[in-house]
Order: sequence, then C-alpha cells, then structure tokens
Amino acid sequence: MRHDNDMNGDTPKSSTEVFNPPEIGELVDAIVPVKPTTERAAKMKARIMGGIASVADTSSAELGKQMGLPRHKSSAPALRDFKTIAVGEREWTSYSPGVEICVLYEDATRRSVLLKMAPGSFLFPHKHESAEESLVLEGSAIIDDGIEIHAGDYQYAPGMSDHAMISSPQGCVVLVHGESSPKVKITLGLVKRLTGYFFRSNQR
Amino acid sequence: MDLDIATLRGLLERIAQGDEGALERLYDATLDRCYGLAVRIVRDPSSAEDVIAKTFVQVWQDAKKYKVHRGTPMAWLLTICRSRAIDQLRKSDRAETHPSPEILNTEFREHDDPVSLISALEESSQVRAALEGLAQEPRQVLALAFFRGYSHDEIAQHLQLPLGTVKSHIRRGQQRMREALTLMQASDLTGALVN
Repeated sequence: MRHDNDMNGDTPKSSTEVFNPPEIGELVDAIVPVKPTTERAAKMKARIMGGIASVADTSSAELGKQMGLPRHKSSAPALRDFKTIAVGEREWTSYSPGVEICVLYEDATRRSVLLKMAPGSFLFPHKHESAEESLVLEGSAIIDDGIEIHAGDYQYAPGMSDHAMISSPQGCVVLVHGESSPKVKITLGLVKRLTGYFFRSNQR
Repeated sequence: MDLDIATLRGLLERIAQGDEGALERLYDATLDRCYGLAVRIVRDPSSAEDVIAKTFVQVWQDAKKYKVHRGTPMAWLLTICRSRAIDQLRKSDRAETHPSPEILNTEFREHDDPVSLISALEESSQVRAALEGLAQEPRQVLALAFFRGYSHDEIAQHLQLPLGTVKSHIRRGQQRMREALTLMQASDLTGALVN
C-alpha cells in the first residue's frame, strides 16, 4: 500500500497514519540534515532530471499509471474532435437488396460501419484486403460454413481473407471495424464457392 | 543553505510551470534536509537514493497541488519525502522472509531506541523541547509512528502494549507537538511584528 499523507496533495490521509499533517510537518521540518557525498548527490540529481524527462507528460500520466490505465500523449485531442452519434441520428445508405450500412467514422486509415441486414437478406461472398473486426449488436447471421452468430458474438477476419455468403434469416445489426475503404472483390474462386453454396443449399 | 519561504514558494510555482532549472535549484537547496530524513527512515544510503529520486520526481509532478495556506514549502517537500521513504521501507522489509526474524527484531529494537527520534531533531527546535519531556515508552511509540509509519495496531503489537496505551501515548505526544507549534507560530508572529 502506498503510504500517503502528503500535505496539500489531493490524496487522503493514509489509513495507517497516526499523525495529523501539521504534526508531521513539524517533525520533518526539525530533522537534522545529513549531507550526502558529492558523488551521490550528483548521481541522484542526474536520476531525477532523467526521471522528469520521462514523466514530463503531466501528473495525470502518473495518476493513470498508478490506476493501471494506458499512458496518454500530452497532445490529447480536444473535446471538439470527439464524434458522438445517437441511435436516432444514424444515416443509413442502401448497400444491396435488404442490406444497409451506416458509416459511423472514417478517416484516412480506419473505418467503422454498422451493417444492417433485413430478415432473409444476404451478402455475396467477398474478399477483404485488410483485416476486419465484427461484433453482432442485434439479431443473428449465418456466416462461413453455416456458423450462426448472435448478438454479442465477435469475429476477427485477417487481411486478404475470403468471406463466404453471409445470410441473416432473422435480420441483424453488426458493427464492422477495419481499415479505410476496404476493397471488395468478387473473385472467380468466390463465384465458384457461391455456386457451391447454392448447390449445397439446393441439396438440403 | 536554507532558502526563505518566499523563494521556495517561487521555485514551486516555477516548477509547476515546467521549469527544470527551478527543480534543480530546489534540489540543491533542500537535498541535505531530504537526505537526512530519508536515510534515517530507510537506514541505507542506496535506498535513500531511491527515495530522493522519487521525492523530487513527485515534486515535479505535484508542484501545482501545493497550497500556501496548508504549510511551508519545506514541510510539504519533507512530508512527501517521508511518505516515499516509508513506502521504500515497507517494500524492502525483510521481516516476513528472513529465516531468523528474531535477529531482525533485535536490530529493530536497537533502531527503535527512544533516543533516536529526539536525537534526530534539531536541538534548537520547539518540537524537540516538547518531546524531551516525555517518558521512554511514549517516545518509543512516537518514534515507531514517525520513522516506520506504523499504525496504532502495529505499534501495540510491536511493543506488546495494550492498544489503548498506544493511543494515549500518541494523543499526549500530539498534544505536546501542537502546543510547541502554537508557541512557534506565536514567536514567528512576534518576530514579524517586531521586524
């Protein structure tokens, strides 16, 4: 446990501390000084000046570290750079029959979209050049090889991977995050797989 | 060389604004006092080095939190130093893993000599004069609380005293220190009025 009874700080008195801040101040202020050797004094000074260079980001960085939070850069974006989209503000664009997309965020490198599939709709097989993460928010869908995914399920698809036919008998909303402007390619191999899919479907 | 309160406050203000030169100056001016405190708590020069480094890095980060009305800059700085020293002491406390804890207890007893708190204080200080009037047992209790950061329970266990006795010793010790502080403040005020 960190012993903290630093006067004037924002930290509360340590639970084990028996003295009050004024009395501690009085005692520490009366302690007889001890002069360290010149070498030791210089060594400590070098450590401190090196130490502050590494924590120069502000005291909140240290606080974050103590709380186990990731370290933030000092050039934090301003609040005006945040983007919040309420549920009612989603702008849907038709993507294919029964399928709509809503671009939540897009910049030069990344893109987050919502994919909404009406009950009974499907997506053709396609190929991603970049990696993609998907999280089902509502409903369910049937993906590669007949696997059914439901609200809360997640999938990571590496770059250059093929997606087989995706169908959604019940309808679904999926959050898809990946690199910006993914190029979707319908390849000959995928067309063959698509044909096979329908062939298998017709055999059932 | 001790800097006056106004200069120290000025240095803390500059440190809060990111002035590294001000931190260096504060370090040069206060090192002996910080080191004197740290080395008495951790009782090892190498550990004291760690304490001093942590203390001044914290000063660099927290200088903006210093509030004038809550105490002198020196007391603020030294209080941080004591906290970091007690952290260090707890971290390096070998009592739990030492094969022969009784050896350590002997060692502690020697260091817990009630004289040690008194002898660590400036002869001319009001607080030393106040605590000199105490008997050996309360002095020992206060020394454990100050140098080890022990809680009431820990002191009671360490000295095998009833908890109520420990609390009573601490209360009386604090009362004496408060009286000394009042005297000191009155003397400062008189000095300020005369000068």
